[in-house]
Amino acid sequence: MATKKTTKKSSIKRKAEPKKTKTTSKKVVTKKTVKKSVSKKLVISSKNVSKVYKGTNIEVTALDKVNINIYEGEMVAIMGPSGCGKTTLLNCLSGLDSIDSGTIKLQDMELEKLSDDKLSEFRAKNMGFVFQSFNLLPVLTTVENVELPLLVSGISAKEARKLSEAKLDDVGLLEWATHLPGELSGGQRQRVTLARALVNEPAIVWADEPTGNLDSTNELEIMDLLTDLNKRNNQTFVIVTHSEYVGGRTNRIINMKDGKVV
Amino acid sequence: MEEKVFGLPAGILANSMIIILIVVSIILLFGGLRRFILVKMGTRNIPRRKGQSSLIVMGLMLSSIIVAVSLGIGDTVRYSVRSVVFDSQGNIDETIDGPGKQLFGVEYFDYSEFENVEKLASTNANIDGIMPYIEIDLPAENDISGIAESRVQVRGYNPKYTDTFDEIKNINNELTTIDTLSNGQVYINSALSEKLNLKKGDTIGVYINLEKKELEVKDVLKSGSIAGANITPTISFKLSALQRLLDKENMITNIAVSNSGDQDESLELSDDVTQFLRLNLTNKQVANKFFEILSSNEIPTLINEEAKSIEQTDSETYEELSRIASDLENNNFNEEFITSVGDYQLQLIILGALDKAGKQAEAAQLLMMFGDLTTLRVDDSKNNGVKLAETVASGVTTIFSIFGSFSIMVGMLLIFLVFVLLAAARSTELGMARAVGLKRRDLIQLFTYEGTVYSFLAAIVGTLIGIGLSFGLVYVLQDLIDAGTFEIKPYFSVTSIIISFSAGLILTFITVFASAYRASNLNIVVSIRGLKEEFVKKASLSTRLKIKRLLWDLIFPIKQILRIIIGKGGRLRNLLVLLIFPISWPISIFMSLFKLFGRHSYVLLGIFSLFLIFLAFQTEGTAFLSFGATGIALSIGLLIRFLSTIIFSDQEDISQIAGTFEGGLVLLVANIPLDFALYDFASEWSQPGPWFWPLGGGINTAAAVWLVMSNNRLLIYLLNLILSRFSGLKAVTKTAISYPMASKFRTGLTVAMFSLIIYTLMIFSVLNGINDISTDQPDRVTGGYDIKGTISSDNSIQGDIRDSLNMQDFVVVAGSSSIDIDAKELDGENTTFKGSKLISVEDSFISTNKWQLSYYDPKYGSNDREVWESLNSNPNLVLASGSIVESGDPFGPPDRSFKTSLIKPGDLKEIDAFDIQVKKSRSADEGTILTVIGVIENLAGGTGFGSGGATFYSTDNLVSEIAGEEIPNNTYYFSLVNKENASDYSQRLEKIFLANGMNAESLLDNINEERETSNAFNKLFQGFSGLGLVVGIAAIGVLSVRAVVERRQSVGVLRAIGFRSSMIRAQFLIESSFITLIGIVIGIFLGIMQSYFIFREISKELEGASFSVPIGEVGFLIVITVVASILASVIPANEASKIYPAEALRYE
Repeated sequence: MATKKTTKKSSIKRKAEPKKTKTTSKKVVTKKTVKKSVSKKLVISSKNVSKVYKGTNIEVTALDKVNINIYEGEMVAIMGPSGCGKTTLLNCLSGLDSIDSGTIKLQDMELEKLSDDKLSEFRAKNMGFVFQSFNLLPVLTTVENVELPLLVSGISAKEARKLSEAKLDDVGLLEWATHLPGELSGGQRQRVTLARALVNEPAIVWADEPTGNLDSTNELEIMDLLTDLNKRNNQTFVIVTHSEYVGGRTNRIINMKDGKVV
Repeated sequence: MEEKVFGLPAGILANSMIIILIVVSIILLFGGLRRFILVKMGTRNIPRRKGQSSLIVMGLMLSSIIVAVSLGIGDTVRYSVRSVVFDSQGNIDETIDGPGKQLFGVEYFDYSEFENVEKLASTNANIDGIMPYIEIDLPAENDISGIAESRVQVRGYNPKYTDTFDEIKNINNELTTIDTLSNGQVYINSALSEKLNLKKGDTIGVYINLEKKELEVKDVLKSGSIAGANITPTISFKLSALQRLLDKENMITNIAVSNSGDQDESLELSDDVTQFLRLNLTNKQVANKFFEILSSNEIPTLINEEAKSIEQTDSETYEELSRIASDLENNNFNEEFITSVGDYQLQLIILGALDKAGKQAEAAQLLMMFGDLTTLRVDDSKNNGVKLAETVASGVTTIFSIFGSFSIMVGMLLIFLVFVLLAAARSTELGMARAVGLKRRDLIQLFTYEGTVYSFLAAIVGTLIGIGLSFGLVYVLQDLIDAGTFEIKPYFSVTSIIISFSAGLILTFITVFASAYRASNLNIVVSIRGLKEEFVKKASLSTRLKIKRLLWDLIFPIKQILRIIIGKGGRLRNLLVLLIFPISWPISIFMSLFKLFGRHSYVLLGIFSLFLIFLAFQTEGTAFLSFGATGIALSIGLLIRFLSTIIFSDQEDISQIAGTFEGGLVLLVANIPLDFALYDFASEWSQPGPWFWPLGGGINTAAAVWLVMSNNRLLIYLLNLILSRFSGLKAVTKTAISYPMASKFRTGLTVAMFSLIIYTLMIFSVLNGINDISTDQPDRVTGGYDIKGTISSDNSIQGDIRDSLNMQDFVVVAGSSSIDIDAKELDGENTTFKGSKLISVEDSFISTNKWQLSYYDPKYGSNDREVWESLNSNPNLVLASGSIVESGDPFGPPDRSFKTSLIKPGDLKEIDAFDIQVKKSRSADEGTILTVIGVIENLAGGTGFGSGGATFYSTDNLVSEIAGEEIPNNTYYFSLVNKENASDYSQRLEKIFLANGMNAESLLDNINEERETSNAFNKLFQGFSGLGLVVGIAAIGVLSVRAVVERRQSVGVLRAIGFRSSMIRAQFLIESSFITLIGIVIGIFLGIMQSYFIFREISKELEGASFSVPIGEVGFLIVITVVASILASVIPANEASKIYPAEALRYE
């Protein structure tokens, strides 16, 4: 019952947006169909970033002198085989994890120089996160999940609710605002995660396997949404993915192997 | 007398517990050996997680601690009181007194009586010694220092008997004898030596017949036995010398009897020896005559009826009367009958029965014979002392265990919570185990083995801590009650160790088993995938199958035997279940019935509750009524739940509506006061015992928690409404509140723990406040007097006391005299003579006392004062003490004195005066009719403890008139000009009236002492009940640790979206304070409500008592509890705040 309702709603939404073709199949879009010019303002840059995981008897070099630059409005995919360091790179770039050497700059700010609190504040105001397993708080309703980053940033509760509802509307889930995540389908949950990641209008959105838990139809819907938002808001998207399809929908693919960019 | 614990014989209790333990151990051992892998799997987690295991053991040991403390205090009190008894009695097992015909003073009897008893004793091998003596209280002083003691026990012994009776040693442990005393010499015991600062060779002044005799202290004896108890200052004379001094040649007051054997053996012989002596000291011909009169007509039936009427209030007398009745019916004139009818109390009841039956002639005939029935009275003094020790000890144990039961409940909730959390933590592991082929009962075993190890450790540690704690508390108690020379001797019996160890272990084990059963009920897929922490319901059986099962369960034992024969479901298991069929049979019938009724179980509950109400009417017991009514309320709630499932589709809506009704209705019905109009019919039914209190508390708390937790949406909504003003805070509080509210079960359990504890503590706090009325209005207790002086009637003050005093120091001096009387109602139901006291007070007492009346007849005045004054208008008008109004005190000993049937607690202050008939106690007098025109409030007349039975106050002379002889004053009330001097002046009065043996006490000092003691007791009990708080706080700790583990990932997400680490810490701390606060609020609400109900009962007898909630104390309670629970969750909260977001998210 629940799934039916959403499908209907999202299909209505797609109708209103002529750019998207309902019939687009996965194979057709694998080629880089969404190409667009990007401005040259550097938002994310890493220089010789290395990260080593130390176990009791073992050391694993997760990142080995990684140098990358990502520009404003770019949608970049980080791809590579399992264990190559994709997620570690994303975590380090976003400041969720620390690095052993090198420097990371986000919007001209050097991450290593920020205190934990400042970093948290920076994340709240400038970043959004999308995870493979959605990671919604099961005890909060959809809208409460979405408004959380706004409340952390100190926006008034009333305003936060208004913005969150608008964002839920954007992803076609306003009707589900007062439902708990447990009552939503996988695709719907990921759209809520998207709404949460974007509600504070972040400059950078980090997505770790955003379609990893979704079927192909939902994968397509999510990528439509992502590319659309990227285009409309000129936000920078960094997506870690295994999916060729997802990679194909980005501007650029950074390939990794054994902790190195190849 | 056998030791009793929780109302059951201690020996039997300990043995049954050992048997239960052995059976359980054999089952566990057998099961464990058969599948050792389950033991291994179950117990391997214990050493792995040392911290968690220690925390669990700490939580589990509470029930052992509480039981051990209760028993330990009881044991110590029993042992200490017994020591005093043995120490003071020495070899004296029984004492023989005069016939008790004298109205006041010491009763002497002729020495020839002793010679008779001596002959008698020589025929009984159980008696190994007998000794005549005089015992009297006299004032004594140290001539040199002037230190005086108004009441010193003075004994005179016949050396011929004393020296073979018991050893007498001086303080240097040298043997000595009474025989060595020459004229003018006495021994004193060490207690007196210390009191008067006297030593060997000093002179002691003793006042005999108001004249001082100077005597030489020959030696100081070691206290105990013949020399007098450790707590009783005693002077020992040679009998002949004392007889001469007292002018009582050839007279004695007592005969001491010693039984054969050592201490315990002689105690066991006590009943036989007492019976032998009583039998032979009773005139058998008179007793036979008695028997003849009583066995005629329908008198036995009447006695039986009389017995039944007191069955609830006085079980001892009930048994005795029933036995007499049955002896009479069966024409069985036996020794027991002879000894029973010697008891004055029973004689009065029998007379009453005759009176009621209109057999006045027979009654008069019996009355005439009473005097000839007994020549001497036998008092089994040592046995009585030991019995007293037992009564006090089991009372103490009961009080402590009742207060402790709240903490035990909390402890059991914690065990349950811990196991629910353990099951949740291991859900994947257990799911896997099930997937690879373990059966559900294997999982139960798995958990049970683990739990058994915890319970075993907890029971050992708990018992040890409990023993230590009980000794500690006893010392605190000794300090509080300021028992003087009463020495507390810590003691813990083996039986108690067994009981507390087993009780703790069994209680824990039952809870462990129940939680293992619950934990094992898991859905394999749900557990393996870790989808949701929920327990899945099985598909329902068909009605046909359910009926079939019910029918089989009706013949449960046959079903089990068949199963054993066929071999279905494990022979051993079936055999075990069959062996406990008295328990398993009803349980299986109930289970089948509930399964059959399914969603309509409310019908079943309703029928069962109606049955309870039916039982209530049959037995006239309010406990059944209360349970029945609560059951009905719950079944209505369940019916509403069923109806909501039809009307509403949303599960949350259904839970909220149904939960509100279930919790709300139970709360409402369980708290309707018994005097509420609805229950009017039950106002005279028997009240449940003190055990009902914790049970009621448990029901109340469960209902309130259920009500609140069902309305979690409302709670969250309200909080959000308040917190929406603070956006930064809102992000934190929102998550902090939503998480616990989503796990209703575990939050509910924790909330219930706090509620239960705060509930008890609140009741103590509020009731403490009510007590203070004696401080606010001390006149209501003291009557406005400062000092009360009592003297022994033997040494009454000659002439007017005022002549010996400097009257400028006094506002009032008023005297009074008293005698024992028997009283009965003329018009009411209580037409049997019962013991009471009549006090005649001087005019100045009537015109000055400030005692208030709780009831009076307005015909005699429009206020208390006028009613007091109206006593002067007619010498036959009296005011009665508050104790004539029945007040079901569950803790006190049965009050066998006069009660009125015409006034009930809570009646209006205005009553109609009523007549009573009184006569001199133990006399065949016709009696006098007196009119009771009012009742003095309970607060007055004696300060608190042991204020005694029914007392009537009249104008001067009535006492002497009824006694038929001049009765001198024995009590004086003094009101000072300078009230601050009361303490000093009471000492001066003792000195002035030393020859009369005056014992003077400052009444205000008494009030203060009593208040301090009672406050200290309350604090002690409060502290003891507060033990549960430790468990509640441990629960919060356990819960927080688990929450951090479960929510690692959520913490990672929150950190990713911008929560600072301090916000994460705050979130967990707010969460635990929130849970604690809900518990506190529910506890405070229930506590105030319950104490208000208690207050209402109290205020019926205590005019002017005001109900107030001690805000300061409540505030302190809230702060201390919240702070403690925050402290308990600081470590886990800190850990949560340190979670590295990338780490947490990696385990997606």
